[in-house]
Amino acid sequence: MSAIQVEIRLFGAFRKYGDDVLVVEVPRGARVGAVRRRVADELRRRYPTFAEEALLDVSVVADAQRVLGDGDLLDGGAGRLSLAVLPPVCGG
Amino acid sequence: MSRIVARVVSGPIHAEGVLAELAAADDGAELLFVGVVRNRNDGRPVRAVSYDVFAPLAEKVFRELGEEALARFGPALGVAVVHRSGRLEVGEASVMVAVTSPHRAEAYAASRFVIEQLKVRAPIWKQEHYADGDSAWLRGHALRTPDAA
Repeated sequence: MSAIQVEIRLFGAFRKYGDDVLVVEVPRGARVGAVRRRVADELRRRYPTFAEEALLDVSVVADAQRVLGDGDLLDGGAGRLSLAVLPPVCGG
Repeated sequence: MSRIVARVVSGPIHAEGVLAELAAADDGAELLFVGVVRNRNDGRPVRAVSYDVFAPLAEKVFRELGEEALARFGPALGVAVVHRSGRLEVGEASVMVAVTSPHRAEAYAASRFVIEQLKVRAPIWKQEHYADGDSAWLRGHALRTPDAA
């Protein structure tokens, strides 16, 4: 299998588009930055009114343990990954 | 043995129970910060706030904040961070930071440090629900990536 299925959880303002989970496909050997681009593509495809590229630019990609760098290699050993896109935070 | 509690909850925060978890014989101070939902923001009347939380990473960040507080202010501290997720009405508690310590100076410093860091590092987002029926996700602090300069 030459592609990795990446399940992306969306948080915060991205939830206004209805879905809180997307599935995108990236090639094996891809880096985290590719996930960010695929998320933008998928949101534009599903929601013609999507206009949050600027928000995506200031969001980060993370797994359950840490924020990932755009240059990090995706660990696609299992063929499927779970990641999250995190916009700027305001908890507390 | 370090005393750190790091928790995301979906129901009401129980301060007394968390303080009991932290309690140690050499404590001279128990300090509690509770953040509550305020009835207005930027001049707009607020009816409720929804908190969206990426729970596994949030709990990890809370634990890191506790460890950093112990490293900065003393290993004898106990630190608890509890944040609630979901929709909260005005007056309900959204976050609690509890610190126990032999002396109060370290407790005050650690409490302030933890809540200020939580606001810019924890994967948590607020959506305000206004009295006029409108809702809005609040602007926040961009998280840093490991490779950021």
